[in-house]
Amino acid sequence: MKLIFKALGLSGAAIALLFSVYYFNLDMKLVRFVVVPLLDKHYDSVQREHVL
Amino acid sequence: MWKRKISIREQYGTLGHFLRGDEPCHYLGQRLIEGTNFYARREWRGVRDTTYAFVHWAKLWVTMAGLIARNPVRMAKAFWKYRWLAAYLGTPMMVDRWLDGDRGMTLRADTAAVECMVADTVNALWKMLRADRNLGETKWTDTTITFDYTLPKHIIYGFPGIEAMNIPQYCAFMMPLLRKQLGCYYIDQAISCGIPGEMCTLPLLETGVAVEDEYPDFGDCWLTTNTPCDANMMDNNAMWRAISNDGEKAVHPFTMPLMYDDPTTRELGVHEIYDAIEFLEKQLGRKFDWDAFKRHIENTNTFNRGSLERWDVYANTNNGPMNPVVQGMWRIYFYQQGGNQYFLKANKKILKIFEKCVRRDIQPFSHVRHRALAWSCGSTYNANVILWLYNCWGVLTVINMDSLTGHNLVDTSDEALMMNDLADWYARTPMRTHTVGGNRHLMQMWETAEKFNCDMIIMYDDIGCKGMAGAQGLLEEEMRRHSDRFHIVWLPHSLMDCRIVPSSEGRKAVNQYMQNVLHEEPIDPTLVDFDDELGW
Repeated sequence: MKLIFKALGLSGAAIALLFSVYYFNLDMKLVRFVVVPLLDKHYDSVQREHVL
Repeated sequence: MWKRKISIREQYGTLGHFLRGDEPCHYLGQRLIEGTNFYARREWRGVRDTTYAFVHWAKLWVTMAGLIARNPVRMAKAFWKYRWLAAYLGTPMMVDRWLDGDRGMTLRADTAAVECMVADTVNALWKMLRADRNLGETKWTDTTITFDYTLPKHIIYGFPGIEAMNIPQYCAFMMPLLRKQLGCYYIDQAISCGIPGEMCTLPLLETGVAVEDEYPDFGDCWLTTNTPCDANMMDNNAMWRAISNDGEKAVHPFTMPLMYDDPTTRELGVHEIYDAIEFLEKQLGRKFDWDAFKRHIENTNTFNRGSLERWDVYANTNNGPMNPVVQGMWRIYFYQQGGNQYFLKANKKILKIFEKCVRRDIQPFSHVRHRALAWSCGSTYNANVILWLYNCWGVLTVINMDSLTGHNLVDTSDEALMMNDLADWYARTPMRTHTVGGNRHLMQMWETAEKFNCDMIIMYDDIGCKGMAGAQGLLEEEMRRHSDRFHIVWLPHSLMDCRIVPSSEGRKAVNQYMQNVLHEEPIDPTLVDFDDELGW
């Protein structure tokens, strides 16, 4: 019984956390303000030869 | 820090409205972070629909994570190498923009179509990247080949076990839909090589990816095409060098007649398909499997029958549940892919939703003031402007020009008939069917608007399209003749480059018409004027 309550509690907490990420758009804020700027910095540092 | 402009009490009024998400005005614009199209909060659609949208969002991330999970090391290398690939991280945001204001049946139909497109794209990206020589040769490298962007994949189904990828679609075309500045970035790379900047921005973008050497490298041959128009042919030289590794791969031009409804050119179209099949047989060293091919064509017919049923609902009732942007994107995306497993599954599910709406007379769009037809080529970076039109002004675009392509049912009872119908299919691509082969196709807008019971025409004005610019005078003249039957609004854009005509300029043109000519009040005042220049 204790295990079931524990599992339910954990699932509830996980869903609540996921819903917060969803509702406050935290996934896209992370991508926009952290992930993409870091990747862009890397792409900009690569030397490319432009040949048509 | 983001702050609500309209209080919760003011927006919802009662607890019932809050729980059901059916408040009189959604005030969608107030969720935007200043200067961008990023949402500070995702939409509250009532308990039931928010739960539905939340589950859809979680499934979206699981599908996307599936791409990484197939081979994390290879995918990390791909993300490190290709700038365009990073744009796909913004998919959930693009989807949010496409589902703005959706409730009930609309949300269900639209999410089914979005899930289909995302799953198909993830599958295609994986098939491209797993075969990519730049990331290391694999057993798939030789069995995956390249097709030009607007060349539907149908004939590859006659070679089971071989994959064809419309490579510029994933590496170039999708960029402004996902992150508009990335479209500008690649356009600048093409211009930096001396290509004139005032041409159509689609080939510029494709060329930009080529000069950055960012196309994956797989297979030993590729099929190019002359569709949709001359602009696509302009980039073929750069594309040839990039995709064929300067002539190392065999290239076959799969050309389709421009005057496609002339009976004398149909024969030529059929000949071109046989030629392409022969080329692939030689390159792949195997015979064309007519049975497998026929099965695929029948699957594609199944989807097209569904499309015709859906259009019938849009034309004759107010029960059509899909919103304008998802409906259009899903149809155009299908044109390239054909009736594969993702589209067949979504087709079935969405048809059931349509049937339910008709049976119960559910009218999913409750704020409709005008029924519109969107004509000419739409924008990519401002693709969701037709959804904005509904949410802001109550103008529901029930059908658009690029959806009405490739929907003829192919007669599979006889090979000659099948190839004849197929030639017609291939010749009618999005951005082509109504814009080439004679002005009569362009002028089909009037009869189409009548068929779909529209009182308004949204006329896209892609200022970089020389073909459409050439018809401008003729269009203006015809518009004056039809002005007592239809309200006609020009909606300017620059296809792929958001700097030339910003999204806000497009909205401004519509706002001026709605306020000054029709003297109407907006349904959602927070959407009338907002700055999203720094958004994606």
